[in-house]
Amino acid sequence: MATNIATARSEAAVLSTNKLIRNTYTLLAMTLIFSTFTATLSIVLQVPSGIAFGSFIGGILLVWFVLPRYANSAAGIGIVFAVTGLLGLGLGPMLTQYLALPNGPQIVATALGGTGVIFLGLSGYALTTRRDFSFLGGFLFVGFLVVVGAMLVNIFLHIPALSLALSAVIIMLMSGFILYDTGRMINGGETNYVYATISLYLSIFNIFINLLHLLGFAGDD
Amino acid sequence: MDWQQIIWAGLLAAFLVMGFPAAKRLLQETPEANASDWGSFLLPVILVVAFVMLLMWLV
Repeated sequence: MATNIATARSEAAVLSTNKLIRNTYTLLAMTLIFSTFTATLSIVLQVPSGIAFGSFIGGILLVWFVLPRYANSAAGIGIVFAVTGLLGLGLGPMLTQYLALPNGPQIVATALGGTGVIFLGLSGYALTTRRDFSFLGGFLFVGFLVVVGAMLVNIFLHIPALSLALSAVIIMLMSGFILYDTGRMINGGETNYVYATISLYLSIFNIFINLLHLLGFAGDD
Repeated sequence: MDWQQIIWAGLLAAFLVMGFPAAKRLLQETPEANASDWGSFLLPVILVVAFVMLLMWLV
């Protein structure tokens, strides 16, 4: 009897985890498509850098102050689309600059494809091994705070080498965050697919813009 | 220094201030890791670094 109850609970937990993973990846795919659409719109309409910057800041503020209030309701999905749409719109002027380089389209396409390969590879690794990466939480968050501090300092110092080094470190940290977030979904640390989606989206977004930065440097003759 | 950089600097500073207590809490709550755990993290990250270097070499 006790074994039956334990098995039923275990099956319920597996079903719940599978549902969370399915919902997260569905919403993530939809938001990535939407974000690509707003980024393309931003390039085509040649959105001024001030408006793009404003939409980028708006996206970040939504994540900080609005999403936590609505994450457990249906409105949370709308907020996720608003965030990803605004962040996509904010990419426009930067992408326009890269596309204007002699091998710009190749650099942007490589960054896009590279980001996809990194995300799929890391997600596949975490989903296949089903390891618990919760031990990374403190390390990744403190590492990210150190990077933010260095970015703040570099606004005043303008050191290109530091900027490149930070891009490389951010890609490594975001790779860790993908493992950490996927591990949390599998092992029950995260039960809300709105939070899971936005965490994975932000990791992908950061990997893309920093990979673009590194490839732009490498491809600039 | 233009207005965008000033706002960006303010935002980063706000993130540092707001994130510090969360980082402190996370460090206390994070479970201890053994060598095998770190290996399972470092292996894919090293592969990512190698892949990025390959892409940089290709463009």
